[in-house]
Amino acid sequence: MESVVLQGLLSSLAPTSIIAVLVGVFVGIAVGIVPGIGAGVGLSLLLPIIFNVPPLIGLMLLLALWASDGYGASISSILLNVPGGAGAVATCFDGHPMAQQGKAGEAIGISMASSMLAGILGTFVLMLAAPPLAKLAVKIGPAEYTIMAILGMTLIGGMAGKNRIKGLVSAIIGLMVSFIGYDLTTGFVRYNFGSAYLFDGIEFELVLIGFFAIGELMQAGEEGGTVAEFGKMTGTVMGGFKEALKRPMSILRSSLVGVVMGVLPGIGITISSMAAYEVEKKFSKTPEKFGTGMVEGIIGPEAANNSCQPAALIPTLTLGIPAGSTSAVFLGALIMYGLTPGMDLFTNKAPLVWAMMWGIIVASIAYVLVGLIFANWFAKLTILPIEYLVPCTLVTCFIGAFVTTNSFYDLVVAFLFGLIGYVMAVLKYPPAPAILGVVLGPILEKNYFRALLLSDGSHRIFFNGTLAICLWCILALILFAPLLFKLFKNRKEAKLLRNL
Amino acid sequence: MRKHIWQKVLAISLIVILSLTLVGCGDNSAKNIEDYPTKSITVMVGFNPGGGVDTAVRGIQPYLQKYIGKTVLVENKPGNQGLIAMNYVGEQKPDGYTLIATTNAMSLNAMIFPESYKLKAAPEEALIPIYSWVNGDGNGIFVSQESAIKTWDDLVAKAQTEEGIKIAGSGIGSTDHITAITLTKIYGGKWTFVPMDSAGEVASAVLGGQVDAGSSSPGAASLDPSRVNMLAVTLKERAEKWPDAPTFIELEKPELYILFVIGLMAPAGTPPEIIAKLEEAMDQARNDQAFIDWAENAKQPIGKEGWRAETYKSYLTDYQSNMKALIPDIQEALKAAQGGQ
Repeated sequence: MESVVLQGLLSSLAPTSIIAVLVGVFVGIAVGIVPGIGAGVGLSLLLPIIFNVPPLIGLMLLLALWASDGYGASISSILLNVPGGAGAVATCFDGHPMAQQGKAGEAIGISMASSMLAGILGTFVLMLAAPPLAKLAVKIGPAEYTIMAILGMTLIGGMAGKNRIKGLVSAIIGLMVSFIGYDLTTGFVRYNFGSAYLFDGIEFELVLIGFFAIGELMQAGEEGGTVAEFGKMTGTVMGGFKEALKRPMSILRSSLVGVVMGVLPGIGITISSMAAYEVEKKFSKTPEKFGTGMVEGIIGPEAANNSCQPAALIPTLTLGIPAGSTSAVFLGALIMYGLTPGMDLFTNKAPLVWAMMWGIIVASIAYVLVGLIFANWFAKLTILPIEYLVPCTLVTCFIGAFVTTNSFYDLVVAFLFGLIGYVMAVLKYPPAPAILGVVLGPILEKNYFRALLLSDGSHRIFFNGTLAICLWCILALILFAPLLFKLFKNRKEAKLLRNL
Repeated sequence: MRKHIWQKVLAISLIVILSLTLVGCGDNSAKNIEDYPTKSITVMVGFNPGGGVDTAVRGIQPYLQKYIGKTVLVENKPGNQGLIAMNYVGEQKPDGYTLIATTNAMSLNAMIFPESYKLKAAPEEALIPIYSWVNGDGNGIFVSQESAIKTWDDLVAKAQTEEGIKIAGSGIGSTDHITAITLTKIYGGKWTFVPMDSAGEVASAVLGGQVDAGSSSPGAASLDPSRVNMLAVTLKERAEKWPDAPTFIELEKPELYILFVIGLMAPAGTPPEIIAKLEEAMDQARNDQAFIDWAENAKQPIGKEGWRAETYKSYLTDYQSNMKALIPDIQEALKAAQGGQ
C-alpha cells in the first residue's frame, strides 16, 4: 500500500507530469477567467488532443486544468464583478467590493490561498475515504434531493442583499427560466415558443453571461471611471495570503461544505459555493458587514468550489457515476484510455490512481505559483479605464457563449438575457438569486416528480427515513432560529431593564 | 459623457470582433467529385463530449483521417437527443464535407417528438447511411447485487404484484424508455418508468435501492459486475461482460432484440461516389489493428464486424418499421404521464 502511494507521488513529480500540470494550469486559469467557459468546456476541448498521449500525462493535464479553473474564475469575479464560472458567483459579493477599495491584489491572494488549501484537503478526503463516501452518496434518493433543493431556496435570503423583495423577484425569474424546455419526467415541452432550439431549455452559462457579464458590465460601462475607486491600489497578494491563513477554521468549514456537496451527484459547485458563503455569514460575528469586502466572504465560496472538484471524483472513480457535467467529461477520458471505474481501478491501476490524486495537489500548488507571477498584473486591470475593459470582456463573453455549444442561437439568447440583465441592473435587482433559481429549479422539479413516481403519488415519501427528517429539522432551524433568537434576546433585554 | 463612452465601447468591440474574424477565414472552395476530398471533413456529434457517441467518434477519427487522406474534424452540437445536430446536418450542402455520427434512436426521436424535427424530408430519408462501426451493444435490465430479485423470472413475478416494478432509465423517449414500454406490453403487470438524466444516475438509483431495477447499455462504465446483477440483455448473443445474463431471444421474446448502433451518415443528395469513398475509408479504419486494439482496451462495444452501407441501411429500415408500431404506445405513455400531473 505505502509503496503504491509513494510510487504515485513520484510519478506525479516526474518532469513530463510537471509539464502536463503546467500546461493544464495555464489553460485552466484561462478558461476560468473567461465567463461562460469553464472546466467542462476546457476538458472537452482537450479531450481530442490528449487522445494520443499516455494516460498518466493526459489525465494529469485534465485534472490540473479542472483544479485551476476555479481559481481563474474567481479572478473575473473579483476584478469585474462578472463570475468566470458557476462556482464563482458568490465570490463576487465580497471579492468585488474589495477590488473597488483598491485591494484587488489582496482579494486574489485570499482566493489563491483558500483555493489551494481546500483543493489539498478535498484530495486527502478522496485519498482516504472514497469508497465509503461513494456508497453513502448513492443512498440519497429523490426525496432527500427535493428537501435539499428546498433548503437551497433559503439561500436566496442571503443572496438578495438589502432588498428582500427584489431578491425574491430575481429568484423567481431564474426559476421561470429553468422551466423552459423539455420536462424530463413527462417529455412535455414547455415555453419553447415552438422553437426546437429551446427544447433542452436554456444553458445555465448563457444566463450567467447575460445577467452578469452583459447586464452588470453595461451598467458599469455607462458609469465609466475605473474599478478601483480612486484609481489607486493598496493591499498585496501576499497580504491576502496571510489574511486567509489567519482563518483556518473558515477554510476548514467551507472545504467541508464543498466536499459534502461535491460528492452528491447533481448538486455541484454553484450551490456549494453559495452555501459556504451563507455558512461563513452565519458563523461570523459581524454578518452585517458581508458584501462590503469581508475576508471570510471570499474564503467561503473559494474554498468550497475547490474542494468540490476532488470530491466530485469520488463517485466518478469508484462507481463510474459522474457527479456533474465536468466529471462526465472526465469519465469519458477514463473510458477512452480503457480505465474502467470501480474498485478494480483502485486495485489493478493503483499507481495511476495515486499519481492522479497527487497530481491534483501538485496542480493546486502549481496554480498558486503561476498565479503569484500574474496576480499583480491582473490586479492592475482595476486601475484601467472601464471603457476599455468592458468591450474586451463583452466580446470574450460572446465567444464563450458560442464555444459552449457551437450554436448561433446561443449568442442570441445570451444577448436577450443581457438586455433583461441590464434592465435588472438599472432597477437594482440582484442577479445572483436568479442564477440560484436557474440551478435549483430543475433539481427541485425532477426530484419531486421522481419521488412521487417511486411512492405511487404519496407525499409520505418525503418524511421517510432519518436523513429526510434531519434535513427537515435543519430547514426548520434555518427558518425559525433567527426569530426565536430575537425573541429570546428581547426577553433578556426586557428582564435587564426591569432589574434596573 | 455617456454618448462619448458608448462610441468608444462600440468602436473597440468592432475592432476586436473584426480581428478575430480575420483569423477565422480560410479556404472554402469545393472542387470536383473525383478529387474528393480536397479539404477537411467535419463530423458532427449530437451529444456531449465524453459521452458514448463522442468517444466512439473520437476513437475512429484518427484512422478515418489516415485512410481518407484529409483532416477529419469532430464537432459537438449537443441537444434535443441529437436532433439539433440532425436538423443542422440535414440542411448542409450534400458535398460530403459535413457528416453526422448518429445512433439508431435518433430517427425514432424525430418521430416521437415531431415538433423538434425541422427537416422537410421524412426522418428516415433525410440522411444516407455510410457505415456503422459500433453495433455490439444494446440494452440490459439489471438489479443491485443486494436486491432480493435474483433472476429475470423474479423480476417478472414482482411486476405482477400490486407494488409492481420501478425501473429507472435515462430520459423520456430513449431506448431505455422504449424497452420499459415494450416490457409492459409483453409481460403485463406494472412497470413504472422513472426517468433519470444519465446512465450514471440510473446506476446510482439502483445501487442506492431507490428503484427495483435499471435499464442501461450492458457495456456502460457505471455497471460494475461486482455490484450489479444483469438479468437479461436485448442483444443477439450474450454479452462477454455478463455471461450469466440471457438474451431476450433465449427468453423467447424476440421483440426485445434492440441494438445500440452508432454510424456515420451524410445529408440526402450526397453523390454515391462520395458515399462509396467514405464507406471504403471507414471500412479500412474499422479494420485497422490499432483501432481494434483501442476499442478492446476502451471496452467499446464495436461488435464482430463493421456494417457497410447496405447492411447498415437494412438494419435501420427493419428497426424503424419495428419501432413505428410502438410509437402510438410511447406517445400514449407520455400523454398518461403528462395527464397524471
